[in-house]
Amino acid sequence: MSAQKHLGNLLPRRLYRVLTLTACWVTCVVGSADAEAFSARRDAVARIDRLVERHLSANDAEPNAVVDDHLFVRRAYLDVVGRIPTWQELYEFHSDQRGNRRERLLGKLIGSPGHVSHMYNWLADMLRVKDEYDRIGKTYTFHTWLKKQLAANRPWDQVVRDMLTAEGRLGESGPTAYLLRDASMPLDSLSNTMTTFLGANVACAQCHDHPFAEWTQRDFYQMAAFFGPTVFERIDTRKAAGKMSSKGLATSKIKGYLQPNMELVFFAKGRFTEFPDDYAYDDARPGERVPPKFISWDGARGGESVGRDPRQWREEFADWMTSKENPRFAAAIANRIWKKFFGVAVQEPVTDLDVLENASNPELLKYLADVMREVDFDLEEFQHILLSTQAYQRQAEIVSVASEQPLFSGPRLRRMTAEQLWDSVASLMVGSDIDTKTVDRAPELAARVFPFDVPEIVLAYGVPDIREKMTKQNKKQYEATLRDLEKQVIAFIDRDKRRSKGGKTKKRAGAKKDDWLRASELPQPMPPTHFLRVAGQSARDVADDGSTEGGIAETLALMNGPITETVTARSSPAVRAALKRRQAEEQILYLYAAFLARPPTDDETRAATRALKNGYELEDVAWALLNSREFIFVQ
Amino acid sequence: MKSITRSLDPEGRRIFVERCATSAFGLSILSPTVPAKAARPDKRRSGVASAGSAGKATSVIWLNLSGGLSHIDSLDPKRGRSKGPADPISTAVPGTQFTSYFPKLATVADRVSVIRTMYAEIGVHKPASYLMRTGYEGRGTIRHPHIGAWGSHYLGRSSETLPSSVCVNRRSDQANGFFPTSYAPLAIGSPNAGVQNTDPLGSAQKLKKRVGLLDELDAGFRSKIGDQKVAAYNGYYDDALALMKARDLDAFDLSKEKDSVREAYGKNAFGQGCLLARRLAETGVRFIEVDHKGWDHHKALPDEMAELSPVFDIAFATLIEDLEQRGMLDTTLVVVATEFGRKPEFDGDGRSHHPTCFSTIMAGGGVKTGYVHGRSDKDGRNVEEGMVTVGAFHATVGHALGMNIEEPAISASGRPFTVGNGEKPVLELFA
Repeated sequence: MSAQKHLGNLLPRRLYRVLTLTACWVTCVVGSADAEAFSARRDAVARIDRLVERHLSANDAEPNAVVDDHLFVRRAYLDVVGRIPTWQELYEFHSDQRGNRRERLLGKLIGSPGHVSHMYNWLADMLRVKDEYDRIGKTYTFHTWLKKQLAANRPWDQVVRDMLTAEGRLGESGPTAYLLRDASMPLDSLSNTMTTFLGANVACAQCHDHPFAEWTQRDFYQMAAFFGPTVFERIDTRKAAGKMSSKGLATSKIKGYLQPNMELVFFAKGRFTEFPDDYAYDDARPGERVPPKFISWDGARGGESVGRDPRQWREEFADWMTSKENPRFAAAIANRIWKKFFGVAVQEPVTDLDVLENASNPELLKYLADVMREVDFDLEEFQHILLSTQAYQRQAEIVSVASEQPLFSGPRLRRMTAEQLWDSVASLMVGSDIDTKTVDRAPELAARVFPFDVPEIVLAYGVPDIREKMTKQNKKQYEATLRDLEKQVIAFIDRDKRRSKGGKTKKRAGAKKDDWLRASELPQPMPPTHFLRVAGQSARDVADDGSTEGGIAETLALMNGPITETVTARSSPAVRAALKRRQAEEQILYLYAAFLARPPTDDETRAATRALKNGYELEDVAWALLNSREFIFVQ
Repeated sequence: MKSITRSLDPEGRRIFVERCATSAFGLSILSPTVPAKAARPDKRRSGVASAGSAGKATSVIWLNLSGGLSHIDSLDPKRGRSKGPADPISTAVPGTQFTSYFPKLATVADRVSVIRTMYAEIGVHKPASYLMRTGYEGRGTIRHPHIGAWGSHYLGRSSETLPSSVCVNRRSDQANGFFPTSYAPLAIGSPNAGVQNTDPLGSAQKLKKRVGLLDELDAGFRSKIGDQKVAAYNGYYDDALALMKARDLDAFDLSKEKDSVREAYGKNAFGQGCLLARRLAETGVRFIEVDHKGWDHHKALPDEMAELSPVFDIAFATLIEDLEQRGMLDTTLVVVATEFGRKPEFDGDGRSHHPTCFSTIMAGGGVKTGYVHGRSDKDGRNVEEGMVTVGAFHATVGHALGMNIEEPAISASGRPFTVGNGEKPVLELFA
């Protein structure tokens, strides 16, 4: 709010001046910094542009003109920070009169807290991040871990590697959540992993040989076998909590404490993947142990030998998958990030790169994968390269049929994602401070991690067949261990209760109920009737499920809903600030800058001024701008 | 309109609805996004319709059990090694058994057809659900429409002001396929909340003024950007404004129902969704999809089925009885679909996905009563007789609605498509 007050003095005359200066494109040159890295970036940018332009001319098409600064700034904010720019940010950009200000803007935005939030939403859709998996406890440690990886810009191969190899309890190791997500279905888990990170369409091979690609069902099981000795188990704590609750503590309370300790990933000696009962081919018998073996495809490191120690298999799989020599790993993430900025991937769908020659521009995809390897999976640098290309900075590619192969005469015209829409509205209410309003709920879980080991036998609470297989003596031992464990658990809960007595009231006093937060800081996902979901936020049940199609329900919410009421009210920051100006023209300029990041044209100024004279209020102008196609589309 | 349609016999009602459809064509509500080559309405009815009772249905209530209903633990109980935790029970139809998880369904078995021989080849949720919703396997290059959108294509609008297609407990995307977005369903996130935000901020007068200003200020962008997606948005605004003025918006308001009725359907998202579906079908909505999540029983199948089955069991049986009492069952086709079945063998205490043999239901709308279609083998693993592919399932629904399913629709990219991907309807299902 303080920023807006401050702006009230500066604007709009100055804003008007800077906004209406003719925007011109200046070739980007970086003076200082790492000259070598920059020169590598410049080379990559130039090569991408050449590949795009060559493809365009091969198709008798012309590249679009480079966008003016107004469009560029709005697009860059939406694509990098995930929301529209505030007045102050517009002012800063447009009053920067030095050369290569676009480059400076990108440098400022990439890696900022808003960028982390936006990238998190993107990953959360890809990885199906949910606060709570089906009947299982909270996954806050995973959210926090992901955000930390993004904030530290950890290389993608390392992030994926951590998720594939994480061990321990969810309460202390966020990345364990990745495998826990599909814990009860190891084949689907593998299928998801291969599809998401390699764009390998292996789903068919779960039941039969792949009809098109070189996959056989045997290949599939041999890949799944790398995870055979891993128990990535989610224990239903209801039963265990029910047993202990007789000791004078509520079941729900105990459940809450058990949860972060009983969802865990660990190595189990003697566990292996077996061929299924309905295995369709003659080369193995159902129930036979499956030896792990890497599949091979054109150029991949196939046939690589696998170590003897089952304890190492998961690591070996992660090494194989994330290796620079795996041609798919770099291509898959590069293709996904391209889609994020250009609206459509070089090869669609991003989950099926089985035939790389099917890409709209195979050479481009190949080169993007090379760049990804050259930058060592540094996602920020890779994004910086894409955002610096002329290809990205051109006017939007308009298509009459969505399924047309893209030529990339410019990025596709896109509708904002649900999260971009929500975060833009939130920034209209709160200003750029919204980016740093973060919520970290991982400590809630971490505080519940027992200082003692949870013996493997505890698993027996949730796995009935273990109990059945026990001998009498084992059973006795088991009962004794359980009793001992129960004592420890209850003592821990008591101690924790005493410890945290003071803290709770403090926390509550500080929290305001209707504070605005960015989508990344809200529950994952929001409930089905919330604006975010109505606007297309993924339910996070399946990967890559966010929608930007829109629909009547969303339109009704934008026309008549409570969000619109708040953001276009007389008391909203945008309208209130506009009202401070005396001249109608200035008021209109304010609202245009706030919603559309540009000054109105003369025609628009005339139309809006006339409306204000004829009984319309500024709220009506704000309503019209919020509901405009120009607002919700990213040009 | 409600009273007029109710007073008509099924045939009269169909003619009335058709007339509504005809009168609605040419209105802005359909026109903005119709590509020139595609989606020309063709109201010729199916040629086979006159033989038998196909073409009787005027609306479809499509209940989707999301996650993959275990056929062996529900509609196709087995003895021997693939038997699940629940015992088979007898039903209203001698010789037909379900499992004890579905006692109410058993009492209405004499009013439904069960298909025990569904066949598909995809065992992964997302692509399998896509196949079940559209009748086509997903491809990167085209989006296929669901039955509701096919209905809008062949039969026109089903109501003057209400949408022709509504989906409850799920989103509206991936439904219109290559047809205009105006064929996409209206999404109802929560049946209790109904359709939200239908009252304007301030007054209707104020909204009208605002929309005028919006059109004026946004004109530059719209004329400059002739993009398909932008055109779709223009359509949404037209449709949303029309919906706000609809006389029959009450159809979305469950509080108009007696509490005893709401109770009978089950006070949960699925039960109330079924009640909402009945109200909408009654008011002239052609296609209503109600989603029921949670059937993916990889783990703790005995506990989970015991908890989840009654929700479906109660809602479904109540829906059938309610439709019957209101004289709507003849013209309302109730479909129970799921993306695949579950394996004959247990994996731990759950079952994995099994697409090559599973079960679905069709009831009402001219479909036989007390009928079981096809036979699976003794384990419930494979189809033995009377295979029904997902395409054939779709063709059957299209046929029941009287669509001319052999007449292809041409997508904007110039490719021909038909309801059910060229498969034949299962005529044995019709009375």
